[in-house]
Formats: sequence, structure tokens, C-alpha cells
Amino acid sequence: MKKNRTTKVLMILTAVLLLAGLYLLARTTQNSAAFARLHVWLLLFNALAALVLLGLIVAHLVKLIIQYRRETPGSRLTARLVGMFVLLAVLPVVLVYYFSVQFLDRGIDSWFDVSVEQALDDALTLSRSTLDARTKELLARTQNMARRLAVGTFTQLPVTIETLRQQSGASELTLFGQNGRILATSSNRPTLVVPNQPTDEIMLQLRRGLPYVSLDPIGDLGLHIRSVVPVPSYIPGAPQRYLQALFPVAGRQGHVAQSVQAAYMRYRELTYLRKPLKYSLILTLSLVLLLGLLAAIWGAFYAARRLVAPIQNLAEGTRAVARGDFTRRLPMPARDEVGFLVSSFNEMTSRLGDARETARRSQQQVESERAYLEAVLARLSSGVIALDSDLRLRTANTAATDILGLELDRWLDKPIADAAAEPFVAQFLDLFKRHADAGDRHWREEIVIGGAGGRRILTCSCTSLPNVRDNAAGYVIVFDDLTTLIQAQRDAAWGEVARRLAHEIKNPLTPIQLAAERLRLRYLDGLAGKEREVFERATHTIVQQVDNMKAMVNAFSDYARTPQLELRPMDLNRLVTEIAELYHGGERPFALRLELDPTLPPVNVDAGRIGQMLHNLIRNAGEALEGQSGGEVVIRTRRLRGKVSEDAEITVADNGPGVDAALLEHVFEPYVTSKPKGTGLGLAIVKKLVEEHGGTIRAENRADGGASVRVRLPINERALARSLLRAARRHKTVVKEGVSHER
Amino acid sequence: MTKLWRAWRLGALALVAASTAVVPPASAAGAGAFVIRNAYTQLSHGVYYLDADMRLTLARNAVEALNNGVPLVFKIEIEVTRRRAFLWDPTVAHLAQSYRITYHALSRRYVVRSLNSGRQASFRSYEAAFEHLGYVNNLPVIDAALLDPDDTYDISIRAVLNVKVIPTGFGLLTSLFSGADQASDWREWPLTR
Repeated sequence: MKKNRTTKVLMILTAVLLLAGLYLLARTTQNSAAFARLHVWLLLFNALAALVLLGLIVAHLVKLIIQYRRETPGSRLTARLVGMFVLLAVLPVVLVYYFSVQFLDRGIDSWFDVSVEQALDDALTLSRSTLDARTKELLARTQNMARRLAVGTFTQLPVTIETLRQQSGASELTLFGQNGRILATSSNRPTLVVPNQPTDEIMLQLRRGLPYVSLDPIGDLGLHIRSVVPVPSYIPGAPQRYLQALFPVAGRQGHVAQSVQAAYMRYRELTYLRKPLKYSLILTLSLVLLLGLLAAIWGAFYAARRLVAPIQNLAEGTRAVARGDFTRRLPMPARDEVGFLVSSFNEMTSRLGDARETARRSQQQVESERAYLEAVLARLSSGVIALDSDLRLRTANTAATDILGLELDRWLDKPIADAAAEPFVAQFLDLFKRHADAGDRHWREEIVIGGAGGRRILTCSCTSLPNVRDNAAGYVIVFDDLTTLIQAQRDAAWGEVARRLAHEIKNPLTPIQLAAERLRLRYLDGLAGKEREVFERATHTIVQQVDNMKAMVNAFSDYARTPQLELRPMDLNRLVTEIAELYHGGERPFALRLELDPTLPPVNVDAGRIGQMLHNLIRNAGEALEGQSGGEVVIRTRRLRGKVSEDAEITVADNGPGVDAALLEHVFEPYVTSKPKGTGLGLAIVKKLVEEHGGTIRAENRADGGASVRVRLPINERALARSLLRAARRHKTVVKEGVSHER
Repeated sequence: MTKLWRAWRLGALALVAASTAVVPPASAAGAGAFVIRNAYTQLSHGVYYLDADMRLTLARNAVEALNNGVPLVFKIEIEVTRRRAFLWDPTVAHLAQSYRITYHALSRRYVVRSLNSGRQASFRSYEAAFEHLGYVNNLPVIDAALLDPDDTYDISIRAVLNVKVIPTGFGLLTSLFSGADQASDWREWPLTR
């Protein structure tokens, strides 16, 4: 703002100075002696001003060209306006200049007329002729006076001179000696001290003996006729004397002669100075017009920029709005139509900015709520799926992906029917159709999914979302995996059974065994024959069965026991190798082969427990291979890299007869076994050990025969945390279920 | 001031010549030359007197201007300066003898008028007039009492001819365009007692 004000003041000052310079220059061209001396200064000042203006114009032009090439908004309009203004200024100026120069040239030439010149020449000649006759007469008069002086005595000289002067009408009469010394003089001017003396040139002519007579302008006295003659001498050897008489050309004749002389010389002077005069006028005119033209061009730039500036601002503002910048406010120009436009623009951007801010806040709020909802959904242990009215999958939480074991992200925004090959989806679609036909808006069903990993039981509840214009906006399906819960309930029940068995059965076994042994010790020797044999076999059977029962009770005790884990990073491959070493050699009904993954990193496990797990699994596989030739047990380790977790997998596979399909889903439950011998707790203990480590276990029949058990143990901290969390959640659920059950 | 004025006039001449394409350059000056053949000072009765002998040949333009009624101003410029070691020499005294030379067409005589004393003389030819002007005889320059005897002084002289500025605003320009101005070099010598 301050800069603009300074610029305006400078511009006004420059304009005033320029106008003053031009005015003074114009004054000097008139007959003003006061300004004549300033002429060169004014010329210099105006030339300097012209240079400054030229510099300003060049700077503006260069700036405009650069802006034009860069296609700066408003540059084309500025260029067009400047061009128009310049054209409007230049054309009249050029015309005025052309006609002015022509006028000057012809006007000045017209001053000098041939007839005037001739008349002046004639007048001068006439004056000369007239004066020539008088000159001759006055010479003769002077010579006559000289002769009269020649006979006079020296003492009479002053009187004679005075007399002669008065008689002759001379204004001054002087007698000079040979060396120019004044001998006597007489003048009609009483104050005259020194008479007018002839020049050396005149004296030279006189010394040659020739008289001198001529018109002579004498200072302020005006035109005179100077006549100088030698004074004759009648005395031989006498010094030469000269008589000078000055006769004024007075009266009408003198006045006319002076006037003719002055006019003639003035005319000659003007004729001579005609060309320089013309050049001077043309130069002054050129400079004035050049200054005017440059000022007009500069003014054109200034005016064009002033006019275009609001439009340029508007263009830039529009671009800013297009870029999404609604904070731009344009400076208000004058209160005209453009000002109204700018004001409207500012109001529009202000409203747009407010609207965008409101929209941004709303969106932020929606995003925040969405994030909150997602967070809630992500932390739900239940799987949640949302479908739109066309049964397209809109959203699915992590638990849904985990529970269903499906990459639900792949089906987002696709009809759920596309995933009909999946057992859950197929059953869900059947149920959905059935309930839709029945007009149910809310329903809850149990879905049982079979698969290689065993049977799984899910509860599925479906709810229609609130309607929009009487159409269902979609559905929310919430499902829970009850398999683990049911399994955990069974595990808990079996744990309780094992604990009671250990407590209730183990105690009476020892007295029974001791009693049987005492019977043998006391009565065996007293019996003989058949009785002895029966007695011995019966007591033996009692002792042996009690031993077997003790072993079974110990196994149950092991199952129920939950000692503290000692987790340490262990190389699972080495652990597997060490355990496998124990089964090499000796008479084994099967071969043991290892397929170990060398990239497997150390895993946090309790070595003793995992060793026990491996023993159980190998023994279990070996028992399955009993009585079979060519039996082979393969222990395989593998590193599994998931999206967020990383697991170590240990697979113990055999090529035996496999597990009965009906038994497969209960194989890890206590007291479930297909073998004639065994407690049925081996795999139940294995499962318990795996779950203590936060891992998972699956049993399956191999496609090429035999069975395999896959154990997955979490490798990294996140996977472990996730697994433990899952285990804890399951435990909590079990506890809750137990509490509710007891109630 | 005078020197500054002269410098500006020269600058103006250059500017005008450079900035006006419509104006032809000043015509050739002819064979004019002002030469100071001899100049000396003598101290008499406590006053320094100057004697000088100058050859003043007028340029053709000047003669033409004179014969066409343009007055010429002939000026003898005399300067007394004090010598200094490191700074410029200050002017102690500046003296100018100016004469106005005009042509009187009616009498066909060239009139020389001293602008200092008002004395006037006329000559049959301009050569005679300028021969008369070329002799300077016993011109008092400066009183010796005004000079410091411990300092060294120089005196310089030159002759300058200008076209008389006519009483119009274009006097200066016309004089520039006429090209009739002439000047001799400065002739400088020490002022001795």
C-alpha cells in the first residue's frame, strides 16, 4: 500500500516536472531572453526525461514480452490494450509532427521573399548613392578648410578650427600632426576630452598622400562622414599635418539611412540564420513531441496494467479455486463493474471455502466413526460380514477371515454367490433363501462345516439392515466358531475326569495290590495242584491289572497337570533330530525319515514338553504301523510365512491305514483311540502341549494313504501374542460357559 | 561557472548532434585558426602588463556570418592561477577583454567596439579589424600587491570568437548550428617579476 502511494507520488512528480520542462522549453522558443540561457539546460533535462521514459518503456516492454511468452494471465489483453493505445497516440502525433515540420519549413521560407530582399538592396544602394554625393561634397569642403588652415599661423589655430567647424557644419574638426598627435580640435560636444582619432589604416592611406572620406558609424553618435585630408604645406621641410572632419548624417536623411541599414542587416542576418533557425525549431518540436509520445506510450502501459490488473487477479484467483485453494481473496479495485465482479468472486470463494470446511469436517467425522467401527469389528471375536441388498460383500472383519479361513478381501464388492464353492457360503445361501422365502428379517442358525481339518460348528445370525425407501439396505451376518468352545468344554470335562480319576482311583489301588501280594505270600505256599495254579493266576492278574490301572491313572494325572512352561529359543530341527536318534537302531517296525527345513529360525518353546510331544506322536504313528511291513514315519519341519505372523510347522506322517473318518474329529479327545492297547490320552496330551505353546494341531488322512498330524507353533512375538490371546479368549469363554453351566 | 557553462555547451552540442538525425552536421569551419604567436608580461610600477601578438584568421563560416549581419564577439581571456602541488590550481584573477565586431553594410565597414571601454573603431576589411584586435599592448592584468611573493603564479591567455547571441530563444542553437565559434589554445607561462 505504501509502495503504491510512493509510486503514485513519484509519477505525479515526474509528470509535473515533465510538463514544466516542456513549458519552459516552449517559452524559450518565444522571444524571452530570460529563458534563452536556460535553453541548453532545458534541452538536457528534457532529453534526460526522454531517456528515462524510454528506459521505463523498454523495461515494461521486456516484462510484457516475457509474460506473453509464459502465457501469464492478462498478458495478451495487456499487449492488445497497449498496442491500441500506442496506435491511438502515435497516429495523431505523427500527423501533427509531419504537418508541423512542413509548416515550419514553408512558414520560415515564406518570410524571405525575393522582392523584399531586392527592395532592401535597392534601398541600401539608394542610401549609398545619396550619401556618396554628400561625401564628395564634404571631402571638397574639408580640403577647402585644409587649404585655409595651411596659410594660418599656429597661434590662430584654435580659433580658426572652431570657426571652420562652425562654418562647415562638422560636429568635430581635428588637426593631427605627422605622428597622429592632436594639434588642435573643435567639437560641438563641450564635454569631449579626446577627439575621435583616425585608425592606422586611415593614416596609412594619408601618408600615401591620398585623402580619406567614408561613412563611419561612430559609437553612440550615429552615422558620420569622416573626411581626413592632408593639410598642404608651403614651407619646405615642414611636418605633414592632417585635418579630420566628422560630419553627422543628421536629420531625415540620417534617420532613413540608419533605418535602411538596420533593416537590411536584420534581414541578412535572418536569411543567414534561416537554416539553423529551422533546425532549432524542428529539434524543439521533435523533442516535445517525442516526450509527449513516450509519455503517452508509458501511460498506455500504465493504463493497460491498471485496467488488466483486476482481470489478471480474477484469472489467478480462478486458477487458485480450480486448484482447490479457496483462501485467495482479491484486492478490491475501484467501485465499478470490475469491482463488483471481484467482490462477488471473493464472496463466492469465501462460501466455497466454508462449504469445503464443513464437508471436510463431516468427512472427518465419518472417517472417525468408520475407523472406530472398524476397530470395534476388528477386536470382535465373532466374525462379522456385511452384504448389500444384492448380496454383494461390503465388509468383513478379521475374525471372519480367521474363522472361515477364506481370503474375504478377494470377494469385496462381489456377489457372495461367486464364493458358493466354499462350504460355509453354500450353506449360508441355502439358509438365506429359506429365511427370505419365509419373510424372516432376523434369524439364527447353526452351520456345520466338514473339511480335511475336521468338522467345525458355527452359529450364524443374520439381520436385515434398516430400510431405505422400503428396500433392504443390506444384511449383517454375525457368526461364531463354536468348535473350539465345544472342544474346550470337552477338554475341561476330561481334565476334571482325569483329576478325579487320579484322586479317587489311585488311592485304593495300592492297598488292593498290597492285599493281593499278601494273599500270595501267605496262602500260595499252602496250596497245591489246581488250587495253587488258580490262586497264583488270580493274584497275578490282580497285581498286573492294578499296575495297568496305576499306569492309566498316572497318564490321566499327566493330562490334568499344568506345570509352568520354560520357554527358550530352540532350534526345532535339532530337537527333532535328537528325538529321532532315540528311535534309530533296535528292532523297530518302521523306518524314520526326516525332512527338515534349514531356514527354520529358533522358536520359543519348552524343550522338554516339545520332546514329549514328539515322543507321543512318533509312538502313536509307530503303533499305527504295527504289524505292517514297510512302515515309514516321516517327520517334516517347515517355515510358514503369513501376512502378519510366521509359524513353524512340524508334521508327523505315517503310511499306515489312517484314521477312521468318524473318529478323526475326536482324535484329540481323551480316551478316544482305535488301538486295542493304550489309554487314549496320547494325542489329547499332545494337543494340550501344543495349545500351551499357543500353537494349533490338526490330524488328517493323507491322500496317498496313512495319517498325518500337523503342529503349528508361532515363531515371532506377534504370532505368539495373537495365539496366546486367542487361547486366553478361548479359556475365558470356556470359563464363562462353565460358570453358566454350573448355574 | 564559466568553465562549467562551456562544458555544458560542448555537451549540448554533442547531444544535439547525436540526437537529431534531421539536422546535418555543422559545416566545415574553413581554414580559420587563432594562434598566439607571442605573449609576455612585464612588471611596471607594481602592475603586471600584458603584451601579446596573435594571428587571428577567421573561419569561412565566421566571415560568412559576419558579412550576413551576425555580430561576432571576440574575447581575450586572461587567467592568473596559483600553482599548488597536489590540488588544482586556483584562479587568482580572471580578465576578459571583449569586442563586438559587426558589419556596417551602408558604409561597407567592419565596426569593432570594445565591450569593456565602449570605444569603437571601424575598418575597411575584417582582416584589418582582426589584425588590430590581434595586438595587445600594455594591458594591465593584476596588481603585484595582490600576489603572495612566496607563491608561484602562472598566467594564461587565449582568444575566443563566438557568434553573438541574437535576442531570441534560438540564439544558442543557431550559434551551435552555424559552426562559427573559434578559440585558440591556452597559452600559459609563469608570471615572473
